Amino acid sequence: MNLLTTPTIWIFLPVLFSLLLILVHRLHKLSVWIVCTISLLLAVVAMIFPQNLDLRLFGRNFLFDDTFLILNRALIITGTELKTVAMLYLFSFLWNIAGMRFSVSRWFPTISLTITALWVSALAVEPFLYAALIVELIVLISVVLLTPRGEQAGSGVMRYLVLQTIALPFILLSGWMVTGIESAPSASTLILRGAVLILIGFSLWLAVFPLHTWLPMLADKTHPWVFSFVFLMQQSGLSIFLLKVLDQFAWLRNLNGVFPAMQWVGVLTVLAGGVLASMQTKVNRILAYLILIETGYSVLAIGLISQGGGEALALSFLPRALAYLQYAYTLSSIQQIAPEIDGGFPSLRGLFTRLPFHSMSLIISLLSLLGLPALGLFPARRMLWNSGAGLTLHYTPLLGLAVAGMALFILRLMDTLLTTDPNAPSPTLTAQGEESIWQILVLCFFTLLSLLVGIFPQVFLNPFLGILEPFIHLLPSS
Amino acid sequence: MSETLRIVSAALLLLAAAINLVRRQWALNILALGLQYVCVFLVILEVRSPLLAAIKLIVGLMVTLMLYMTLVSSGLIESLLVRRRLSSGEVFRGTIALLLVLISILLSPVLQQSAFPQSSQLLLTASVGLIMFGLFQMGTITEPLYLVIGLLTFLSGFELLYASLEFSRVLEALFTAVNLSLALIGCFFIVKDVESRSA
Repeated sequence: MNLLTTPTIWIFLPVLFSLLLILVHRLHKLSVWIVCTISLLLAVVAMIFPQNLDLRLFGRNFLFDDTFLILNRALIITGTELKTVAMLYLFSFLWNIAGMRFSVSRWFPTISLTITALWVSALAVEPFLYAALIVELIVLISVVLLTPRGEQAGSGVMRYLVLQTIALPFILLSGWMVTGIESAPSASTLILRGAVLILIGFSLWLAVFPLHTWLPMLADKTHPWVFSFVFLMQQSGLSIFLLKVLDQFAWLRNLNGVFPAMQWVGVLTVLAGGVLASMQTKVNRILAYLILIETGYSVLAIGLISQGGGEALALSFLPRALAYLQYAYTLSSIQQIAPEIDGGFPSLRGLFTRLPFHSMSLIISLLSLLGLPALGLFPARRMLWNSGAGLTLHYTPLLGLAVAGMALFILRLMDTLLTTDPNAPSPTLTAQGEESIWQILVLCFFTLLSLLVGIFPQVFLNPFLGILEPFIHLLPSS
Repeated sequence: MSETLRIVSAALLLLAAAINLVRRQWALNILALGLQYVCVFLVILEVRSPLLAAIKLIVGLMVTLMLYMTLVSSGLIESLLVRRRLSSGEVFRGTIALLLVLISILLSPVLQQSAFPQSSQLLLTASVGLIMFGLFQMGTITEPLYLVIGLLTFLSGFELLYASLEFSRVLEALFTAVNLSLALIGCFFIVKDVESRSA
């Protein structure tokens, strides 16, 4: 058995460390530092690793194999896929290092590293539709984190488990159904069935509108830090997996109506997210709608793949993660400083006078996700809006409505944060507690980073275009 | 294995799934789940060697045992001999169970003809029945034990169907990992539920 392979480094090694970390999970700080070190190391190594996998170290050459054979099947991580791997481990690092001060589950470091390694293996397994079972394993592991401490499992987490499990047969059956039908005519019934099955499976996984009902329920009960990490990984992993499916299955990408269907699903999901967000009065639940909107944009980007959607998707990974990070960090920090704030608008009234930097950070992260110029997500949003408008005029008013809905929520939130009710002083004003210099620095750093990414996208985002390199059939020019 | 034994196994399989859907008595439900896995083993022998089929049996019994041990340690499990009258809800679910069995019997020839020609009608009846029972259970109940039993039933049905379509050792290993993880999550939910009740 050849152990000098890329899957050994980026899958088995972190899984092994996760297992070892179980022994020290009570020592939270130690676990976090170990996971941070491993994640950062794996991310950096993946970023700088030679694409031909021929590593020259201490005057010796180490030629790595991209394939690890296991029970007649393979785990394959090619040189071109290492950018995706680097991105996933970077997310793991960011969420562990920045989340050290929050009282999330003591299992978070261990499980987050396992989840990251499993997402990498889901993208590496061949036949790739077997990834459905790995995704199911990720869901099952995530449930431990998503269940609030000291409370029974809520209906949100149960719906999440059920709907993600139901997706599994759709994906596996589609793979079996279309085996060897590449040569069949495109109108074949089997191809249609396979396409329908696979699209239903992905719709359930991604929780697109109207299958998203569990998302707000879950966001309401789960710690924002955990929720943002689990669903950022799921969103990023599944977007890349969907690209892989389209790249590998010529019958699917050549089927008439697949890409327009994805465009409509994306637009309607963005619209639903925007409209529903405009009516919310809890900042915790907004995280669910942000995930929904971003899922919509991801699906729309994949639907617009031949109009530059692939680039828009690749450019959105980092700024989206930074915006989630900033929003979840700010929210978690507010709840840590003032536990009496339950996330509802009445409890947030007048927060600006007490926690001005937190209030501003909350608004800036939302504006970034809205796609405001000069902030991180603007370049990707602009590409998508232009591509959509260039294709058909139907999408523009719907996307405009979604943006207006989100903007309305931000305005309502700003009003709540800035104004106080003179008759009934809110708990935010009566409670003690101030922002520390360290917290202010972290929040300013997030804001600065978002601005820098927005102003200099070519510096920060262009390396992420490499994520598209493995999809040579879907994007021949990438 | 004789055809009669296979038919009896499939009938018992659906009966066990129906008991889990209809009755709300933990000890009985765990027993029915164990019986369901034994019957899955007998039905799956049609497409798998006894050695490979035994994996599903062992995993299924382990899952059942894990859930049983958790329920016993929670101290809330009632004896099997406790008799309770049928509630109106149970009568309703019983009617639904009959309907689901009927649908699976009627649906299997159609499915065989249109989508799964290599699978036998008996296997399709059993798998479609389990999938539908699992879906119905998951869709109507939020109590952790029954939700997990629903998920396990749904997965058993799908595994049965998929076993007749494709064989892969990796897939078997992954299914085993999923089933055991699901049982662990079930135990986790039950413990959380009991803790929050006693708090």
